[in-house]
Amino acid sequence: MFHRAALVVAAALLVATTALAAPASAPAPAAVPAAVPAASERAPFARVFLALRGCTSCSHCRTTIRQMVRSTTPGGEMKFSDDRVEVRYATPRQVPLRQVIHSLADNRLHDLSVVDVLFEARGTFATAKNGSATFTLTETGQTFPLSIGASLARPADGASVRLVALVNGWRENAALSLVAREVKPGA
Amino acid sequence: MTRPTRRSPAVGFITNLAAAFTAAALLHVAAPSFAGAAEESENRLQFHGYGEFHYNNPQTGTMDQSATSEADVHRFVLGWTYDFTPEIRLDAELDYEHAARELELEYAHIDYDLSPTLSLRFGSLLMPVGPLNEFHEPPLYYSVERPYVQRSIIPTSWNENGLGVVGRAGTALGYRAYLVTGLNAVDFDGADGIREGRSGSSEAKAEDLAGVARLEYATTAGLSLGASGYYGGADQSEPGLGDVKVGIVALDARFRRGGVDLRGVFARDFLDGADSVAVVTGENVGEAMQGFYAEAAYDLLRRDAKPEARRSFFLFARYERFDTNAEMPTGLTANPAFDRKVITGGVAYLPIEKISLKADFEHWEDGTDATLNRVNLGAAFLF
Repeated sequence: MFHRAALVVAAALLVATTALAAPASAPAPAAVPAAVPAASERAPFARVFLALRGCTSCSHCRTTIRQMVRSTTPGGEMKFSDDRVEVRYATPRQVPLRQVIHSLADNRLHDLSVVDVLFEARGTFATAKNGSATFTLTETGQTFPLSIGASLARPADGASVRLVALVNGWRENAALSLVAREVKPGA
Repeated sequence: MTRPTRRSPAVGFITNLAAAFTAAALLHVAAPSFAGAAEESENRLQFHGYGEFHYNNPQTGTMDQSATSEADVHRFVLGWTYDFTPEIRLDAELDYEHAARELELEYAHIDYDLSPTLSLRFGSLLMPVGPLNEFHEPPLYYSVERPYVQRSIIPTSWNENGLGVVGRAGTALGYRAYLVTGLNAVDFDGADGIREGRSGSSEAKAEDLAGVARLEYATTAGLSLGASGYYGGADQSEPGLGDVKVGIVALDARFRRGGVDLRGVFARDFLDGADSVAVVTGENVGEAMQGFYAEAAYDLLRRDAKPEARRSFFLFARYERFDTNAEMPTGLTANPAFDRKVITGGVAYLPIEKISLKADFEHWEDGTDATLNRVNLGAAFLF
């Protein structure tokens, strides 16, 4: 009996020591930007990428994730891999970005969280008189506020581009805005 | 504590199937593809899996304190999903149990989406009974061994051949309903009740069928509720059994918030025809089997409160009580050894959410006043 109790104590100490010795925060998983495929000539009109963390391994969770996302994506095609969901829209149409994000961000599964969201689409830039920028999707008129870092070459207003941007605002349930990560002219 | 090794032709088929899929995967990766088509075909085949390593002192399945200890690569499961089209896919898992000494098909089914929130499912199906059978990946529970109620009262893991639907109604409600092959009562026993009557989808007798369904309701506040029901024939036209029926009712609740994880499960099995089952099997089979457990856990590292955090350190405790001779047919007396209580306490450290290092202590008591203390160590993963 004693040696069993000693084993438990030793094991608990070992686990606790390992836990305490580990860095305060393990490295975050590869977020969406690293996982986004390069835009190709056949790239669709728009794509939404949701980077996931947690249980995507069991059959039931995968089925539920598919059903939750597909219920919010009429006209879109969904692809699901182990750590991300991609929803693609082949032709110009309104993209229900908020609904797509919240279909998983508000999930009730036992262990699943959305880490980041990327949005990729064809459209044009515009600059308001106050200097703020917007991105308008081709043919649809759907517009999002946009931030462009100094490291990115800013295209001329009205020029057709393909934008890859981080989506902000969904965690706070606020208005969605985009932060440009990549801009390809003439897409 | 596991099903006996079954090396049937079906196992050979499964092995060949696995080999074929592995070859297909390699060809899929290696085959040249037309430019532009590559993006369309990517990610059609994906792999997933889980596994766990156990140390038990003494080994499981005994009330003998002097029994030997055991270390085991208990489960190593490889699964894959293949998308034939965006609406039709295959999902399957093979379990190389006890360091590949036992090969089992965990499940293998085709899903056909009838609508965005409703899918037709057919093949070898995990029974949607209780909260664990479909979520049996070891990092998803805190103890080294699965809760014993979900072994002896709700067989886990449990798959049968059949078909049915999987769906959602709104964001909060999920449901499954299947028609499946029934259990086989000739394999029921006193200690583990209906457990050994599972077919494992291998050459399953289909003389008797069963219906099984589950409803789940979850709130964003952290509460989730589940109800499962199963009813069907189990004599499979075996001589001497007569008409045997099995019913199962299982209820479960879970609340997670602020690092706290509370869970409760209740299950009751009804066996109509237990007297003839007892005669044919020679086992002290009950006509009712019942069990419950309550579990509390707390994450000292509060991963839930830190969006970027990935580590958890859970302290947990669980109380289980289950009796596979809860009610006996006329003429049979309940075996008090089958009325069992288990108190389990321990820790689970998850350096990331898909890896779990576990240590716990079990204290067993049964109706004969026999006791046993067991130490378990484990490591588990899923991907």
